[in-house]
Amino acid sequence: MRDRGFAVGEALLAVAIALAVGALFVLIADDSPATAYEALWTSSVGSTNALAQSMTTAIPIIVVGLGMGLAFRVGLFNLGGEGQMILGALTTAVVGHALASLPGAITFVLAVVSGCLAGAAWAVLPALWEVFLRVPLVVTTLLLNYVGALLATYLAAYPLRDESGGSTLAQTAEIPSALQLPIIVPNTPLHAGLFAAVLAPLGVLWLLQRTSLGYAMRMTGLNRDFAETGGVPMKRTIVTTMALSGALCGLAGALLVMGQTYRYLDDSIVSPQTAWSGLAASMLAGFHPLFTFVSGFFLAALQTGGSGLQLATNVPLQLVNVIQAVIIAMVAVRLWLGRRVLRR
Amino acid sequence: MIALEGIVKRFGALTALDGVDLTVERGTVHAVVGENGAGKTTLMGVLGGIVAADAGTVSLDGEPVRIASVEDAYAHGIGMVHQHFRLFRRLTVAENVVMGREPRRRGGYDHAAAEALVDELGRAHGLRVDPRARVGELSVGDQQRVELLRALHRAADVLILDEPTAVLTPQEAEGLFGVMRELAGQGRTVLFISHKLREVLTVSDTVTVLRRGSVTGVRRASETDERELAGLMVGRAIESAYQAPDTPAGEPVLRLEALTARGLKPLDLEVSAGEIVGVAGVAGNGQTELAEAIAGLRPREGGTLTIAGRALSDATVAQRREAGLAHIPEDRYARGLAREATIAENLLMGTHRRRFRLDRRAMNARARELVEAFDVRAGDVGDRAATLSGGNAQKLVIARELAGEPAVVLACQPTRGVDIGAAEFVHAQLRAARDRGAGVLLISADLDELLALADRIVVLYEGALVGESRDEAELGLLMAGAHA
Repeated sequence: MRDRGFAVGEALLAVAIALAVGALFVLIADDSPATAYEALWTSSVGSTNALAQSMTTAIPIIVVGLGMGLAFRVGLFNLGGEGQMILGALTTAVVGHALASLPGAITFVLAVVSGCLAGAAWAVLPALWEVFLRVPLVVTTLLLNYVGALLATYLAAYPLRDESGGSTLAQTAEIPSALQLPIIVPNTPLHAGLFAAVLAPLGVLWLLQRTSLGYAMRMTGLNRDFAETGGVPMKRTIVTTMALSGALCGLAGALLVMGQTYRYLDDSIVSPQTAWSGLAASMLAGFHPLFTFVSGFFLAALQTGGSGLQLATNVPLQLVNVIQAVIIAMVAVRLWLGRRVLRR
Repeated sequence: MIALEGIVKRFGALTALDGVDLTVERGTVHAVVGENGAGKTTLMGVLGGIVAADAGTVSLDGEPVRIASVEDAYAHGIGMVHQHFRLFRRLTVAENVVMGREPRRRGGYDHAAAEALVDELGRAHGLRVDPRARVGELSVGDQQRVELLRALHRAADVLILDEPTAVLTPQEAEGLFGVMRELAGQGRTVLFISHKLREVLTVSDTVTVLRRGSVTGVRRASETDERELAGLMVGRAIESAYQAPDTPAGEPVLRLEALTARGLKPLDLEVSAGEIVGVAGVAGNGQTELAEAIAGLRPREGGTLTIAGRALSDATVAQRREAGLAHIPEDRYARGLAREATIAENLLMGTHRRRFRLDRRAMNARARELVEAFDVRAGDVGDRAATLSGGNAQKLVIARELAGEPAVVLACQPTRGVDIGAAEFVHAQLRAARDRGAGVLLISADLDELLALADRIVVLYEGALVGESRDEAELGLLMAGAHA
């Protein structure tokens, strides 16, 4: 586990450098880095309310990050987390609304499961293309994001649009109350989806470390030829991994709908870059499920803190983007270097 | 005369060289042999200015000299050619050779002069390479010629070659030996590191044997043999003679009938229980393809394959393993193991499917047993496989594949790049597998290995089986494509 410690050290170093670069930008803008970071701290984790807000933002980031990270662990560059999440969110909202007349528990289960299945389907499609047609998955997953986003926009704006309130927004009807996750800290947005964000990393860790399927997946990620020679069925493993990865991304969408928006709201995922923050969190965590929880929360807190920063000081919100960009650049370089070293 | 006396080198707690003396006559080819880790490369590094000795002296023709850097070594006419080439793949042959010693004209690099110089150098030493060719496009043998030319361009008196034949085909190695003899004939000195005793005896005048950092013997090549040298290298007698099985071969356990795949002509081959069938051939004549077709990694184009009585022509890898096939892949780091996975995880591969839950305690316990039984020198079964030396990594693969008492063992280049001790162990394991009734198909580029192990030897040439023999001369002809 020496290597894991090393990876944690590297991640912390990346964060420290990013904060230092951010401080430099604040200095150039003729402001005090200390004040800026203090405001960032206060508005992200400095109060119960801020903490709850950060945690709420973190929930879908963590879960979608886990999903994408799972595929990366197996050597499959699933860049389609965004599309899979959108499909999951839309499906949960639509199924939840359509089945509102059924008993609450049944509606709940069916809505969540269908959200996961929609995400899985959106991920299995490129997996099948890769396996049977040799179309690179890294390209198709990325392109399917646009297809998924535009499809959802169309559906939310026309056939599935909520006509009841006379709203001009592209959104679907509100989901039944049985599907709305309860708030767990009063007077804050923090909802019971937190438990999913805590349990999902443990579940993924269990899958990878304690099951033979997870073993086959990890070995495929470490050396695909080795796994194949040992009898791991490669096509099946690729499709299964992408299904699980997409299901987690779909779950992230379902949690967003059930905990925050209570309906599918157009552009509630693309603009906040939730899926990409999730991938960044996963990369920063070295694709380790438990560390993804920590890094996901960190990136969410940065985003929450950004708005408070802008209110309290003259430093613009963009400081947060600078910090995030530096972190991502460094993590990407580390992964690239690691790959080069491994290839020798 | 080149003399190293009392050379000591320690790396932390490890004593790599413990008072080594080496005397080399000018104008000779002198081999330094020993197992991996015996200190051969370290000793040559001291002479080449790469390793700083902790004690001891180096003298050239009676004059003590101080060689503190590679530049010092060049100044004394000593150049080293490394096992792993240090060439710029995108530059031309001429540019690589003159790098750092470029001919100049009007303050700039003189292309024409460099090319003429390299051409001249190649002609003088029988190392013909096109000076304008890009190094990345050359064969491995030609790349080595470039390395040699570079060393000759800088320092022509003493050449150190570190395992020069490791990457060469037999024909390329032959060519290199000719060049070495010729250089010695011109009065230059060639120091040659190797652990292939047959080639050492072919090309060198004198042999110094190292074992664990000490010299265990100095012999004239004409007055010794492989057996004596091997004994000096490992400190005991080596059993390499062929041992026939005690019982005759039984029923066929592996049968190929007109089996074809991409790169293979239709092949008919039978391996019976209790026999080792060797597949000889020059590398690149279909060995990889044959192994992959049997293992289930290369789709069949025709014919049938039977393993332990079961028709498995189109079976998956897992189904073949289920039927009793074990596969020791030719490149252990490419297919044999995952370097970043733990030793225990590497040992689990293939048997992990039994239950959905993965019992880590059972996995580690079994790994400890296998590591013990197969003498894998490892720290802990939780350490990464990358921490193992080449020989131990191979033992790890052997342990995993032979542990389940397979009916058929497909062993590909099982001792490539491992030292004599580990090779002897691998051979003993394959013989033991045969003696308990397994059918072994041994694919090897090492004819000595095949002659020592195999009960029958067939020859693969351009993807076809062209004959069977146990006679070395006849095998050589078959391998060269002369149909018997």
